[in-house]
Amino acid sequence: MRILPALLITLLPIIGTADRTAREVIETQTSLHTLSNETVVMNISLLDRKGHQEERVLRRLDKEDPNQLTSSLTIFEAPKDIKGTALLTRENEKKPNDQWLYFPSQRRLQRIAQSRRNAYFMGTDFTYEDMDPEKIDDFLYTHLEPMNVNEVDCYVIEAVPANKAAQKSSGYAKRKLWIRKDILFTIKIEFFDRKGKLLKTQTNHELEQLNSNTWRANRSFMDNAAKRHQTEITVISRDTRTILSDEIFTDRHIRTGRYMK
Amino acid sequence: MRRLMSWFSLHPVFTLIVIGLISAVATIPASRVRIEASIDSLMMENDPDKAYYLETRELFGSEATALVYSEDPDLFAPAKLEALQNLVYELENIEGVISAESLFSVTEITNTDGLLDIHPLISWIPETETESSNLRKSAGRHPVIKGLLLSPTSDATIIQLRYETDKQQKDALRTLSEAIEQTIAPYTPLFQRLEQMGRPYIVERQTAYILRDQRVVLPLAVCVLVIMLVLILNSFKGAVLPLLTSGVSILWTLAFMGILDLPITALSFMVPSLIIVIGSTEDIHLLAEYRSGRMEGLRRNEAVKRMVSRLAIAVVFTAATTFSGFATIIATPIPVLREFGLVASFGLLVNPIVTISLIPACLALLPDRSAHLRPLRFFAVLEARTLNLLSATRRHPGITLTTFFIVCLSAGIYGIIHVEADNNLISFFRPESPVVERVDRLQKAFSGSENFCIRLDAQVQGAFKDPEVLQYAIQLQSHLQQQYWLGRSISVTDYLSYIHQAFIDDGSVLPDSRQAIAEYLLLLHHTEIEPYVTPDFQSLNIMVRHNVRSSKELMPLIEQLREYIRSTRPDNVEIGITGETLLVNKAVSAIVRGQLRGVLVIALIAAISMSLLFRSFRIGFIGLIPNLLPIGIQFGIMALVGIPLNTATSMAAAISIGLAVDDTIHLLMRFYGQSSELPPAEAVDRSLNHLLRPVVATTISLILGFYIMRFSHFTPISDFAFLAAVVLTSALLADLIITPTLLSLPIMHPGKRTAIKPHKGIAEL
Repeated sequence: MRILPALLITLLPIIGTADRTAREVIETQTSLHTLSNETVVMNISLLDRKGHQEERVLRRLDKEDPNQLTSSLTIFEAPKDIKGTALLTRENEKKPNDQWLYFPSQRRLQRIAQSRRNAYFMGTDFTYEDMDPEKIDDFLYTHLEPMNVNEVDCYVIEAVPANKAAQKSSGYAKRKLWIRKDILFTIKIEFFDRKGKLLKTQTNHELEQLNSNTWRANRSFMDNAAKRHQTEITVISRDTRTILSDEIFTDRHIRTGRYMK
Repeated sequence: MRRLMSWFSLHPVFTLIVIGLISAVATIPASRVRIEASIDSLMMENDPDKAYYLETRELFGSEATALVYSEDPDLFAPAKLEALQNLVYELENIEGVISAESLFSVTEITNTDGLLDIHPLISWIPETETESSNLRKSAGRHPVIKGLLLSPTSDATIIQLRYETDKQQKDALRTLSEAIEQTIAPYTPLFQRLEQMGRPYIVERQTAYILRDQRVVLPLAVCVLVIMLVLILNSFKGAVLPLLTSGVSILWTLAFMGILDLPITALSFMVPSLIIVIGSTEDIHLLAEYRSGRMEGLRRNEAVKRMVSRLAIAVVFTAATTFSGFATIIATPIPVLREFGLVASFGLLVNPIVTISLIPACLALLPDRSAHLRPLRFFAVLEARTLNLLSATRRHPGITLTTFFIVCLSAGIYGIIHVEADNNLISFFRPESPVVERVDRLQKAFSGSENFCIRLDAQVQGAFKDPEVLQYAIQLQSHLQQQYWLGRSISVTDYLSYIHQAFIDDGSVLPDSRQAIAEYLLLLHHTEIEPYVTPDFQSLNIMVRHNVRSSKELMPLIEQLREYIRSTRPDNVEIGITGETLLVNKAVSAIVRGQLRGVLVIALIAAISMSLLFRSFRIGFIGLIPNLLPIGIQFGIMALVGIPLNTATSMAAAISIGLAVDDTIHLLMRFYGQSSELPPAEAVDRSLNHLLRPVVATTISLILGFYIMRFSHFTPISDFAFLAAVVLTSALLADLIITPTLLSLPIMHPGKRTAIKPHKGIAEL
């Protein structure tokens, strides 16, 4: 499954960018920007249509296993009343991800269904689907007219659900992705509903190169036009060197409270 | 004044050209006048309650929404749901709509076999009957939407549209309603019932009915008025001239409104009637005087001259009286009433100006056969008999006056006891109107169509994450639930309770820790709970749906609720009840009080005016008595028929007094003009003989005109027309029976030592 992207990376300088199919671009991008271990502390700022702002701080730990399946743990650090709330996700190869929610007040992990991919993630304007890794097989990708954004050439790729099941599980009928040709990093995504109406726009800023191929955005902005609400994620710190132990991504680790230390 | 009127009669062509030119120019601003059925303009300015309401609206958005009601036994059938979803989608895209709450925006939270599932209630349109049936069941069980967005029987649903309209765009609500109507039209055949309701629809209907009345009912009423005047006066000119002066005055008044950007409102809509009623009496008196001169053999210019010399002062005084009365309304803090005062007083200011210029000019210019006109035999006989009858009533002044006073006083007292101010925006529409039918359906399916808000303000931010404080909100909602008149209440507690039960189904309504509440809130997007709690959780809003439309019934119930809140609220929470309807009810009560106070002001001005005119306070105040009596009759009839006092019906009293004062002044002037030469009884007879025909002709014609207005689409206008007819009749009786009877009393014609020295203009009568 992962052979093709690897091959593509190797051949990247050889194959002309114009010849790459949209799917290939996405596959390559996915491979390029994956890290084995990553810990990010970020500030989430929620802004409603009247200008009220609400701040949250969360820590996200991601680890890719040898099968290139990712486990992640998201922990709320602030404000005080939600400190310790955690969301544990384990990627499965052939079936939907497993997900557990931990509320410190209840001291138990609550398994949550994956049907909620189109539900908003913890009050932000990102849905669970937006946060998850791209499920390439679930979508059909097509090149649109390339564009130059801020003097950088971009692929513009349209992603639509590939089948009825994907249609049902996705909250969007279509996404338009602006991917920088030089680093294959997505700098803008537009999300459309089934009538073709623009729902949300995500833009990524302050790009940082973590290694030769891997880039990250230190600021992401989601403008939810449908709900007239906005979310801004700003990275406070990022650690890609610390090796995260598998034990971190277990329910025991969470229930015993060690995840907060 | 006399010189001015004479000048107009001497330069008729010039006068008519100038009036014609002004009128032609006036059509431009007059055509710009728009109709506005604004709710805000009904609220009192600088009212702390209004400030509180606006603050609440700023915090949580308006509780007044546009609604689309859909009813179908197979509401959850795939095809119907798909159509409904498409409809919601299109409604959301209407300009001004900021959100649509519907079955499609609801989150469902379930916990089955330890698997928590949070997802949109309708993520995908069901494809089979089983899926439809399951969806119907789960929607029916949803505690947040039950009775709010979905009827208890699950066969009716509401799409609730929140909107923000451009304050600069005066017709915004009407435009919004029209856009909603256009959007739902293609979907209507797909459902058993699909219709629009809510504030924009009511405002749109109100405007449409005002327009329809203006185009159909008012012109028809004027036609009937003309026909009747022609028949009774046996003179086309005599019938048309009063309406010509009224028409010109109305046009100028509309131009005035256009220039100042004053809209036609539910109140100012009645100004044309006011101008026709009060204005045409002056014209009729002038024409009667002219005709009398012509029949006495005077030449046309002599007859005009005599008319001017005899009536100029009366016209000025009566005009000044009614103008001053309506001008006092301008000082009110309620925009809609202030605008009415401005428009009405302007209309009543220009009407006499048009009258004193147009009537002499027309009389000098138009073909005239007055000298040869004789009343129809039927009317002549009737006139003679009426005069005899009236004369008989003066033979026993004690009995006449006592009887009349007792009747009027009893009617007045009965009316004051039983008539109540009542505002009910829905009752403005006829019971058979689609508006009332729709509201009734909504009320039946969702146990209420009216809303108000209960706002809870804590002293610190985040207070409404505290279970103890939230517990009070739950207690209050539970109390609301027990009230027979309340349908459904909703606040953020309903959402929290719903989530809590999905996590811990132990029968508790809320968790006992602040931390748990904050955690639950993470599962909601703030836009879901935006109408119910502020982002800082310092203020909470309980939206209450109820089924009481009448302000008379609602206000005491709200007071009871306030009392409950006062006695139970926690010390650290301030609680207020607010809502558009409550503010409008308050303002309407103030409008009614203002109108009735206005009547007293007009009465006082009339008394002072008559006192100045006749240089006697005694005459001024005794002369006022017959003018007050019709008001007693009006209130008695209102109580008997069951007409409430509202913005429209309270105006009948003002018209009554304005009209009665006119006739009284004319009668008194004629009487005192002749009393130095004739014995009182004969002076009264002569005066009555002179005034009977024009006064009776005007009154009967106006009564029939108002009868046509009974067909208005608005109940208050229809009631107003009925009351105006009642008032006109009683004012006529008072002027024909009471004023002459009073004049026959010695107190009204003192001996030489105390002889009344009326204004010099009267001496010439």
